[in-house]
Amino acid sequence: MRLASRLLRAVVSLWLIVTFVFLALRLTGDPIVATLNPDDMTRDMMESYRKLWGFEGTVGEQYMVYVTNVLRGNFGKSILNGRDAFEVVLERLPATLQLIGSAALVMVLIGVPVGTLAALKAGSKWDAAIMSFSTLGFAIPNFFFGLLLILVFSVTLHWLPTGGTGTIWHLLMPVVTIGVAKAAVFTRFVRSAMLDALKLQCVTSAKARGLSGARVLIRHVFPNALVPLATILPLLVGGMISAAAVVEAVFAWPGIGRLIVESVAQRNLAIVQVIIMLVAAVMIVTNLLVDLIYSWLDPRAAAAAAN
Amino acid sequence: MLAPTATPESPVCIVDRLTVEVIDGLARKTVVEDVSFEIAKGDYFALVGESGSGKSVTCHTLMNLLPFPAAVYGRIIVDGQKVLSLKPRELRQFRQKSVGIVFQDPMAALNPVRTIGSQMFETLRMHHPKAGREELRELALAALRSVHIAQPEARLNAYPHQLSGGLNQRVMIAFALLGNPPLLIADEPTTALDMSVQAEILDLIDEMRAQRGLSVLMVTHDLGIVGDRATHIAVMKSGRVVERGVTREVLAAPAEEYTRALFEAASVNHELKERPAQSYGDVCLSFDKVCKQFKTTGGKSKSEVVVAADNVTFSVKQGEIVALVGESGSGKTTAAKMAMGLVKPDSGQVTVNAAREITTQDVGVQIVFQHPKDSLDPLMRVKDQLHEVLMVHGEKDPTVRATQIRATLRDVGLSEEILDRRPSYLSGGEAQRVVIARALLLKPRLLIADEPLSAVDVCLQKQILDCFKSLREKRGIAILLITHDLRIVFDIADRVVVMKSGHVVEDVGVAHFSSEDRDAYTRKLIRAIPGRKLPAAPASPTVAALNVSGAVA
Repeated sequence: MRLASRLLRAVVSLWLIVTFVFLALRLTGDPIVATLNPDDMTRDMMESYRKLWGFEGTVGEQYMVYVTNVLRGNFGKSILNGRDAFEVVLERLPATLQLIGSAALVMVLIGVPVGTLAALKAGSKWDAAIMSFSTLGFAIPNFFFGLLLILVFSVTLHWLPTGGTGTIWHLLMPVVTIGVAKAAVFTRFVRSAMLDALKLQCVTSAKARGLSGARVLIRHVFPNALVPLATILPLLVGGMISAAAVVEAVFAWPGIGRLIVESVAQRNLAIVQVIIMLVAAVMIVTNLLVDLIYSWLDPRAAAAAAN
Repeated sequence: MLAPTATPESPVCIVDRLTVEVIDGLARKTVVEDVSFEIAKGDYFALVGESGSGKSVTCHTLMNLLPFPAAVYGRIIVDGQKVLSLKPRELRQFRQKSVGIVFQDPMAALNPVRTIGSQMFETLRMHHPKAGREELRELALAALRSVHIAQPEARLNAYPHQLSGGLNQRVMIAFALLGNPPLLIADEPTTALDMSVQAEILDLIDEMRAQRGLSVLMVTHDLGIVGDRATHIAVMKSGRVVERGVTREVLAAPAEEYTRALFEAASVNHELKERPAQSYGDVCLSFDKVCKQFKTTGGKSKSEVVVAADNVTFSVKQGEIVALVGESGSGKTTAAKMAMGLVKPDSGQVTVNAAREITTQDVGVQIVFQHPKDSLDPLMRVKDQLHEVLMVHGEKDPTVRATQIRATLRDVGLSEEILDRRPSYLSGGEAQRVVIARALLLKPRLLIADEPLSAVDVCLQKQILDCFKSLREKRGIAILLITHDLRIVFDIADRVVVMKSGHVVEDVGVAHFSSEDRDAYTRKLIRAIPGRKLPAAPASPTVAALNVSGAVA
């Protein structure tokens, strides 16, 4: 029952996003005029293109056609080469997943231990140093940090390729760019979640029973700290996706981030729509997932939700 | 079980000139100063004091468990071991075997995201490293049974929030005794519990003490508990022990003013006279066959019906103080909410000041909440909060508002200098009286007070009660006092309404409240009041009591 109503809400959200994107893209100018130069073409040619790409009739009519097509699994064609838009996006997806997945790994591997250390040594010089680096980490824009890496490791040292894909060496700099920036944010979240968990009475109580420090940390502090961390998961996923758009452009990484930047420039609406829908779907699924994870991590939340 | 270095004669716990300073950057603040006491084997030692007097810090120091950076001076020997000089590994051993601790809030002391069983196995594994799964399970079940927990198998798979406060506290006691320690520290173990549950938990601690020859260090502010159970007492104030000795002697002649205040709060006056009926006015609140149910969807599909009110009928007259008594879950707070118009009854009629339709804008009823500091805005000065109330209700002239505020402050016994303070600079008693003043500004005919004393220090409780009494005398106001502390009832109420699972089981004048022909449930509640063994009235301080006060030689 609860799951069904959540799924329904997810579908409605998705539909609202599709509608918004569709209208926004069409209300910001005639795509045919923007793509093709009207001075070079006859009115008939324009109209035939209009028909070809589905820009016939009023926006309302176009919308009806579009929604019917989407429901049939037809997401339109790329105006660049006439290929199925969904296929074009799908092709680029693995590269982005690889980038974001590796960056997430870097984020967790840095964020968890460093954030924990900062919490355990709260108020000390260690804490102050970690927090300063963290501020620096998320104050530096991604594109700047990426270019800096290229300047040092590619241009000056000639150790790493400036861009493209293929080997693990290609992956290194884009992953570090996103991973380090997100780790800076994540470290702060881990630190504050750990600080709150460390103050819990049950942690004192566990120590009073004579449990070792490591055991108290792993079995009593961490499980409680995970609860607030789970809630920021959608925020992090969203941040990763937007970071990917910038970093893919800097490192010529062939993922959907670069694809959407190019497609917007080309007013390749079918592609833009598919990508935005995909990102929206990912965000909605992440939120659903967080709800489930949350009740699994904190049995009190499950009980409260049941009431 | 005695530690190797301890002989049967040597005390289980020796605290010698203990001083604790909290380190905050470069600043140091002394929270415990020159405290000394000894607890012999089998002693029931009560450490008494108001919040902030250093009694909890002392307990935590006994286990080297201070939650903040601190400098500790002096000597602590527990179970033959010098606690302050133990190495980390020895300290863990010490905490496992030599001392167990029970905290105030049992729900918070257990990890909320893990089952009772999982936390229990984890602790048992330290004591029995070679035991297998089945063996650990048996040990855990035995531990739960020893503290009289029914259905121990089911409890192992339960999370703390699924158990009642009393059950959780039993679990905590089981945890504390897993290593068979000679000393049990109980840090206000029943403050968060209902009074009849409190009696059960204290009985359990007594039983464990008798069974195992346990020494108990009980931290409390309730002299009733101390008088009934403790063999020795030490009273702390501002980090120092101001009075100490054998319970009987100290209570017979308390030397310190603070001890006497505690004593007064703990004594029950059963000799009561009924006020004449004509001293009351018209009925200002009446419940007539009121029913209210709540549906909870517990788990997947099974929905549970909670009966908060079942045919509830009672009334409060002008000038009358009626105590609404019951344990948590008995429906007393729901009744208060219905009187405020915050909850609508399913059937029946709630009438306030002869109005059948209650709205939350009705200024004839005002409420005073349990936590005074939570019901004041921490960022606003008292003056502004009081003006705001009158402003919202249409009084535009600031001088008229100021006059009314001054008059109300006088009624609750506060001086005007508190007007410029913010809530953090008020004591608990002052804050609660500001809340009462705020409620009184609108000249209500009925004041509902929901556990108004449970967050207030004992010394200040009397101020609040006196304030209620004088309001009744001066303004003829009616008060519905919701409480689980029956001692307050005897002190202030004219009539008592006892609720149990949504039913009114008793509605009687206070003079007849403690007579033997009352309802069985009422008698159980009255029996649970601690302080049976307190002397009738504290005598004036004598030389004998003064001898044991202050620092020891």
